[in-house]
Amino acid sequence: MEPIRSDNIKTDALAEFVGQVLERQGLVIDNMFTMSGGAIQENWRLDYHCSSGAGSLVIRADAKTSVPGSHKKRREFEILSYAWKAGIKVPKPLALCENKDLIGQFFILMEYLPGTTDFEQIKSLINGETLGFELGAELARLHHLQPIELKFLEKAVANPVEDLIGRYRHFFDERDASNPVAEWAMRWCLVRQGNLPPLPEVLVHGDFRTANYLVTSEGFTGLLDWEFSGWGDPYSDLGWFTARCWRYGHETKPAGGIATRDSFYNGYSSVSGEDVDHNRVLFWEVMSLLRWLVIAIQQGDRNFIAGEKDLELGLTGIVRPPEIEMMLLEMTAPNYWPKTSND
Amino acid sequence: MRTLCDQLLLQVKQLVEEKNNMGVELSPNEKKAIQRITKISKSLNSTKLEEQKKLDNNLLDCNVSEDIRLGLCDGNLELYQKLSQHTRSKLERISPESLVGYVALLD
Repeated sequence: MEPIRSDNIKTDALAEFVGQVLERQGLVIDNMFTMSGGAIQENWRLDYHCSSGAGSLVIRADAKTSVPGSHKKRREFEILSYAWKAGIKVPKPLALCENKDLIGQFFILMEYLPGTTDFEQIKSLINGETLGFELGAELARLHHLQPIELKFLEKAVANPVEDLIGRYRHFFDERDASNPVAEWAMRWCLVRQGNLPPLPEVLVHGDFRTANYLVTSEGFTGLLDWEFSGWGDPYSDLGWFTARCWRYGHETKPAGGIATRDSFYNGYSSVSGEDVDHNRVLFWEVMSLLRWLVIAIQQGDRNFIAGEKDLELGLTGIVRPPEIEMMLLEMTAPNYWPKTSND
Repeated sequence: MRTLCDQLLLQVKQLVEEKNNMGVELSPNEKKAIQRITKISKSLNSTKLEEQKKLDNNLLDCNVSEDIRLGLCDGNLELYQKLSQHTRSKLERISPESLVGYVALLD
């Protein structure tokens, strides 16, 4: 973790705000560190002390530019609060700050949970199969929620696959940069989706993958990064978790690079009461790769077009697209296309 | 691709200058990013101009994207092989390690 250097942070005002939220007088901020976060969000750990003791909290704010589809802070705060009240393992959200005077942007103040999101550390801390089962079960619990009171969430669409592919096509058309591999994979999805019976949409996390949950040697402690949550096909979360792009090269552990499919599927089924449809997961793995392809290109654009001047974003924009395209082609080879009447 | 890589090289130059002026060391991730960018640049530079154009054109000359979208190439083996070969060539130039497995760009 690196100490934060920012002229935008008004430490005294921030300490006063945190003190009010925690109802502690004379609270002093000792340190603030950047935590492992994403390119889209910034998470900072804040260490404090006051007369009744010391503690740590987390501040979650937007990065300089965000990816389309990620929630504004108020929406994310409400979803996180809903999930926490429903008993899903998430850090307790403590307050939403919509005063930019404190750190230069809106932020969520939340509980600091123990654990790591680092893939290598996770592998050394805990049995992956146990963790895979736990994560499957937690995901099924989330998919059982019916957050009808979260009225700001976009309504379910008649055909989520067609809706998403329409958006991706629009993205490529707008950039005026043809991508035949993406077109090939999108067409495969549209042709294949006819074989999938429609499912009622549920509350999905939207970014359920290794690196977005916390683990200690005791197990899974919290699900993080809710900025893409909303209504969706439950299998979109399963397919995102098992997609090749999130296995960290561990092909024998398709479930997030940490577990076999069986452990993850069994965990999910233990709560949902139904078998996981493996073909549907594979279908959503292709949809997931398409999504990650679009995000990778957007991240590159943040460096090359939006001027964020971040070498990692630039590298992502150059290296990831052909890498993901190769994965897409491997999953959509001609023998995986449905037979037509002409065949 | 070449243009984007040149842009990254320029950013690297600016970053190094900036850090030197400030008397601050590059972080491990910055060093790793610079190594990777330099490697990609060398690889692209060693590619013949004609080959580079092919990689950049992304098969646009065939209007292939539109045909795919219209459903005229569903499961077409010949096109599939062409797409695979083209993508593989790009990866070989940019990130040959990716052909073997996932590559962590930075820590």
